[in-house]
Amino acid sequence: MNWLLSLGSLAGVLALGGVARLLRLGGSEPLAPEQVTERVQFEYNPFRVERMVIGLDGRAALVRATDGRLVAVKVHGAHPATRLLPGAPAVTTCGDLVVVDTGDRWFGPLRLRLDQAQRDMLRAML
Amino acid sequence: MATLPNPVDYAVPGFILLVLAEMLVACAADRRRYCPQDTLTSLALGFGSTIAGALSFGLVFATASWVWGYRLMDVPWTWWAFVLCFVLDDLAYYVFHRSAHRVRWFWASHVIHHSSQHYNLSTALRQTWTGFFSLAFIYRLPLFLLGFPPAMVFFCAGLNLIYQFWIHTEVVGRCPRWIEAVMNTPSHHRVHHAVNPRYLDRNYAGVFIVWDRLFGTFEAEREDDRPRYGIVKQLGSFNVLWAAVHEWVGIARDMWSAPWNAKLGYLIREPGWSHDGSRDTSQTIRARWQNQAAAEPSKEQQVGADHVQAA
Repeated sequence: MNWLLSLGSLAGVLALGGVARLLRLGGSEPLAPEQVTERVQFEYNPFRVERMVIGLDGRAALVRATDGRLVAVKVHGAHPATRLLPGAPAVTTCGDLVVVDTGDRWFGPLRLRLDQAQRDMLRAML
Repeated sequence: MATLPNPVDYAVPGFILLVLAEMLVACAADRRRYCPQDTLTSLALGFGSTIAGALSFGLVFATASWVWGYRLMDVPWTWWAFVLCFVLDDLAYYVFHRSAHRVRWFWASHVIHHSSQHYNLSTALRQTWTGFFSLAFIYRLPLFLLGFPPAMVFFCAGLNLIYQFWIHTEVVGRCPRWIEAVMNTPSHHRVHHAVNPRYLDRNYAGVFIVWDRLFGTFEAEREDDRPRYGIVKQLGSFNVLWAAVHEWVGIARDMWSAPWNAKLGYLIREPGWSHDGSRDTSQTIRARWQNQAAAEPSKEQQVGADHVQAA
């Protein structure tokens, strides 16, 4: 193994990561209903959206299909990522923050900042 | 035994400079082509892959040399032997790559390369840590049996890897027609990295796209079906270790919970296969999409129907 090359590569990795931050690459728009609908329909086809609640910060959403399936959507870097939720996910509420357990520790829990009307809607969805 | 330098070692500075150049283009054209966390994950996986490859290379080379001892003929160290070796090595790569998408055991290693939702030059460097463990090198063994010296084969394999770097980009649109006909290009490889039903499990080529055209796995990129990148079940995490091993963990979990007569299926069947048919494979996804497309009239047909009604 060429240690000089390995160290050089490591330095290159860190430098490029730094440049990406410096250039402010990435970033994402807040989730919009059309974007969420399009995404879940693409990934869970066929998927007819019945209800949807998007967090006030636009970083996460919960979508329910007419057949009862629930999908968590979160902003993951510059793109949304989704998870099909198990039957009845565990939900905890703390003020305006609602945390939905996705059952996938690496995907992480869904964190939704919701107003009262949205929290009522979420309760109706679950 | 003759040895040759690893051409990839010399290409690393070029890789870094080209990623930097692509970042600058992204900065001017579309900042979302890169994401710092995704880039760091890709590059860290690439770095780890280099370390894992270096640690296992001695064993791989020894195995290759042992097989070469039983060679059918002596391939000379001439220019045409290098050319022939490069072409046959690319065919071996096609076979490996196809099985890497069709057999979950091999997919568990290869999925790492597909796990980014981005498609840029840093994605090219997102490479496996477990290639040796999955025995991916067995696909090159026929070359040694034929008589190609291990050093020649590994040199050609390095050139193959370097070629594949530049095709991981959205900056290049389409190349001239004759290049698109023969060579693997950014356009062809975007299709390969896409999860659109039309594009799933297509364009396995390394350097020469002719293998896909020959073996019926070619799909052209379409303007009306823009590629979406990643894997069917997106990782949703930037954790490097999880990206490296998640499919192996998935295999272990599935085998643990499956009935005895189905355990092997989770190892050797296609990704997404399940003994109760509860999951999607690329075939079921494509079949569902095709059925829907057949049921819904196309835009052209709709325009035609409107025309008839108007008349």
